[in-house]
Amino acid sequence: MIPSADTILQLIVQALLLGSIYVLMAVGLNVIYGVVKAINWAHGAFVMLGAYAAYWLYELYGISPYASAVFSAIALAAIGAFTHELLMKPFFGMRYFRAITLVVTYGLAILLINITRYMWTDVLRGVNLGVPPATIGAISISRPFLYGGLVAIALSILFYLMLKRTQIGRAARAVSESRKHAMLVGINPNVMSRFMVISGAAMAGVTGSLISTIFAVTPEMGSVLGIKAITIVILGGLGSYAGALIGGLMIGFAEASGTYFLGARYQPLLYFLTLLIVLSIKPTGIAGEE
Amino acid sequence: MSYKKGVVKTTYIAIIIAIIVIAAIGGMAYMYMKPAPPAKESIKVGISLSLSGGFAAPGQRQLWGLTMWVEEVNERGGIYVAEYGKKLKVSLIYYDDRSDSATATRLYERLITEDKVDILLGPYGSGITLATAPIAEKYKVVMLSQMAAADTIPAKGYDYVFTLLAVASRFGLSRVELLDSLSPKPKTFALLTSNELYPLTVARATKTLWEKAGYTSVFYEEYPKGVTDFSAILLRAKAADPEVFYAVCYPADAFVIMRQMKDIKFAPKLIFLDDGPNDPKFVEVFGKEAEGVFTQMSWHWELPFPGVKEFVEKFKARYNELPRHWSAYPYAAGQFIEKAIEKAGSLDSAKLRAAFLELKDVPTIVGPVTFGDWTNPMGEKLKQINLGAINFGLQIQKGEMRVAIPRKYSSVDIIYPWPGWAS
Repeated sequence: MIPSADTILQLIVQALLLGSIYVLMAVGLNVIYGVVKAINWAHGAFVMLGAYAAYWLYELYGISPYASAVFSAIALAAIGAFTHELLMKPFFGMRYFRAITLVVTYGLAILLINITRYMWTDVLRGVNLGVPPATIGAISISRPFLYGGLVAIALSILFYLMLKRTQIGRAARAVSESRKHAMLVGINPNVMSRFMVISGAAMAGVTGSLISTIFAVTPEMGSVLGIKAITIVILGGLGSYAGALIGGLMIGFAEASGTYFLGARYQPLLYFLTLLIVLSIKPTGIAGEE
Repeated sequence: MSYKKGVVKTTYIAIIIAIIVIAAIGGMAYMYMKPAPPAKESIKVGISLSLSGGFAAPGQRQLWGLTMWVEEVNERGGIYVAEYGKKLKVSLIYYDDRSDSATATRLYERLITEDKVDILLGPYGSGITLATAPIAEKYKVVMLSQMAAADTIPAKGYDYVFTLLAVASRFGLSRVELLDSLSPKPKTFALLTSNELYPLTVARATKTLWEKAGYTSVFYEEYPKGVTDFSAILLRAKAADPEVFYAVCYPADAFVIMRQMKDIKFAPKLIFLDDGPNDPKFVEVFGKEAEGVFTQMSWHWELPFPGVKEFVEKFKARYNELPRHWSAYPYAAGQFIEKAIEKAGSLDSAKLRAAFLELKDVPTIVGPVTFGDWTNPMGEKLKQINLGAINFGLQIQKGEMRVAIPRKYSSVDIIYPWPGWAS
């Protein structure tokens, strides 16, 4: 079955929007990796908590998830601070720091997902804003998806600029390159890593708020999205912003087109095949340097 | 030397004979003197329930349904058992399996060997039932399963396990009736299903039966766990332009599917979502858009079976909510057991099993129950399932879930075609 031009256009838009949500998720993960040099496996669980925060504020007080994204960000920033102080900082400088952090945050993810499941069970939850889709020519786009995608791209660019142009950004990059040398020029690496973990977690909170308006909110999304975020980051290159952008969009396209042309059952296969091919050609990821 | 040896030998033989004689006499004496077994005081019904853990919510409701039956039957004085020449009260023995199969397996072993129950009821869910059914079979104790819909359990061919709930493959029967009762009849359908065992069984059975009935499949897709975005799948379904769209999905998926169908303006003449719209939350979230959407339930509070009205009123007054199949099926299992014990006139497992198979159309709140063998649309032979079990097709009308299929139990007209997305 050959799809019409309209369907293809619609599919491209869909892939871009899905991809931009993934980009934001990957940027959040990379922010943490850049300075701490560790993968935060609980990133998906953070996104899930952000989505639940948005859901409850909408359900109980009628606050729009776009407004409550600020609250999600603050709540997740607090969890981020906790994660940094208790689950990352004690292991700084240890020989197997990366592996330890990976395992510890994996444990945190399981803990958060199960606490959520215990408190709020697996029942159907989600925010239905009930807005009609936006129509451009023959294609029809979900408004929450459109807004979510735009906010995600804007936030990713803003954060990128902050890193490149501001004093804090320079300091963070300095720590990212060498903790020792950063200290020599008077930067406290612990302060910087705390700041970046908090920022990454806050971004996860915002991602969750946006996702709550697009997908269903379940405890399970914590692990599903977590794995997707990690796949994207590895695909794009750990710690690379360009990588997060390319990886996120690539997975968005792979998911949308693969599902359309091959069928949904090949989705997991497609992810890992993409990952396998990219990594066998360039083991550090598309834009990664080592 | 040889003389002495002979004496020793004779002595040994004498001692052995003496021991045998004494043991035999003692044994016989014991047999005669042993007091008669205490008169049977109650009928012990055993069950392992998921009162904590993942299935705690339905597990608790299962207990509520059972408790109501036990209380009612004991108020009537119990069940008459011919073997004992009197009515015996029912005592329910239950333990919490914490929603865990391994724990449940140990509990059923304990119910049989230590509590010496007369009959078993099945636990919650296909997973735990699949794990515990072999225990009932091993000890030859009748187990009436009420909360397991997997075809795999009756397909094992156990002699002592009976399945009361409609198995997944039987869902297809009411799906066929639904399409047959529409006018004008649709010609094409699209089917989307989760690729986990239970939805897959429902979908495959429905697809087989629909195709056999002359409907054409224009889209069929199985999606794996972890799919969060359905827009690409739905775009393809839309391109196939089906008249009927049926998704065998979980509630969270139904939520996204419904929203994304609207986003891409996919408006078939009939939308059927297996799980999701049967949660009151769905209607609350989608409001008017949910109107006319079909869903399913294993049981409904407005069914015209004898006793349903009384059960619903009593349940509501007591537990402050509408009963669901989690409570209705255990209660119905009790109603059936009552008839089976009366018929068998005994608590002997073999006689109970025979009574289970002999009884026809036993009236219960889930409809008339008859156990028998059935071959499902995929050609698997299922043993001892409830041939009266129905999976009900419901339609959301004026914000309420109403029974639409089977037509003979419905009191409403079907809304068709679906009115489409409100602009």
